[in-house]
Amino acid sequence: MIEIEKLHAYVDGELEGQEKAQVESLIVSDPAAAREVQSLTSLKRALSAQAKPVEDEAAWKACVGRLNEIDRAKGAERFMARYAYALCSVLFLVIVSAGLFNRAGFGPKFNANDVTRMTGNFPLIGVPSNTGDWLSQEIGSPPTTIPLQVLKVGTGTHQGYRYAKLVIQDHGGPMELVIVPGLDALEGTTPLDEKYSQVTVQDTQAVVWREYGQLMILVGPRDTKELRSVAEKIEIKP
Amino acid sequence: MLFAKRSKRDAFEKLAEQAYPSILGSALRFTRSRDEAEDLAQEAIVRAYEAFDRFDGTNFKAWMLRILTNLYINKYRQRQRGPQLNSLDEEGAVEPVADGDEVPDRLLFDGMVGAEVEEALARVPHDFRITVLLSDVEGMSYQEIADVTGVPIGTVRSRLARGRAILRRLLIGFAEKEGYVKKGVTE
Repeated sequence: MIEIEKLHAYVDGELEGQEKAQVESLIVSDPAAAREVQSLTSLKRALSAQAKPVEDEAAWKACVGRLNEIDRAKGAERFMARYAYALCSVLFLVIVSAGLFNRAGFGPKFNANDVTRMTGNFPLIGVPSNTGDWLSQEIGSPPTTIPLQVLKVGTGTHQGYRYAKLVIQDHGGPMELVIVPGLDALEGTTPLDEKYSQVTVQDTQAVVWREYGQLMILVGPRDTKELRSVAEKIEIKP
Repeated sequence: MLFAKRSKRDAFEKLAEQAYPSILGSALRFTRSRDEAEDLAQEAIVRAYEAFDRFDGTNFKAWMLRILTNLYINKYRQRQRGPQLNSLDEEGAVEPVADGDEVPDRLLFDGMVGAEVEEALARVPHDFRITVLLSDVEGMSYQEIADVTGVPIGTVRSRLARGRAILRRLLIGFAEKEGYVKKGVTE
């Protein structure tokens, strides 16, 4: 008795040589084997003829849509891969330029109204034992020496800038000194010389200067010359 | 570079569009679900597009079909509904397809219409069905079927014989129901 699987293999064209000859001989001599081979051949033919391809235009269009998406994604990837260094360089230049812009004095600025708000009423504490240490602790100032009497001090935040306010006094009366780290300039000032500028804050004179990354604003009811001479006494040594 | 990419896309799309009806047909017969079949066929198209550089340029449809079958076996088989193989199905003795009946199978099968064949195929357990489809509809060799389905050639042989026997029984059942043959004649 020949294996049934061998007849299938014969119909499928999978036999060669002796095995093929053996089946062919059997087909001639055994009607049951011949019928089996004929039946298998018919079954294969029916399957091949009846199991037809399936047309579906919408499904194909969906496939094309997916291919388009892939092309777009790959295009973006290729662009990024090709121009990554250029994009990084541009970003680096933007950052460096922004830094230079700030350093050159084109960075953030306040105006006289901002100074008014900063010198306005807000809680002040008494006199710290060491004003320089207090400034360093509160707003990160470098060592600062103020050779005047300090009456009160306080800190606040304006437009994201933390600042310190000190009420100081000399023989001419009290003044307010505002120190704003990180601020570049005050708008509307008139230069007195390379270092100092002058501005009027609500009818009160103020002298403005920048030192070690801090904007210093000295406001007091006296003329600009006097204010400037007081400002020159304030010493900052990093 | 851009033109090369466009040309590759055009070449792929042209071949894939021609092969797509066969791919979708096979996917339908594998999954027996229209939605799953469309997803499967689309996924196969995407995989083929991504691997188009590795296509050897000979028979695109056969290459696509291998991708489709691999994908189906890897991704969809676990979710496949319907009858599952058991040890009896896999190990059972293979019976002859034909017997000494009065109506030759040649006449019986040749009179079958597509819907009957598709319905009978859908009821064949899926491992057998895939093997029969790959051999009889797609014309794959035993070795190709073994490679694609990841089973030894001996298993391919036994699944084919078993699958065809089941299919024949189902087709004869349809024939009896439709009155092509009298009940009991082919038993």
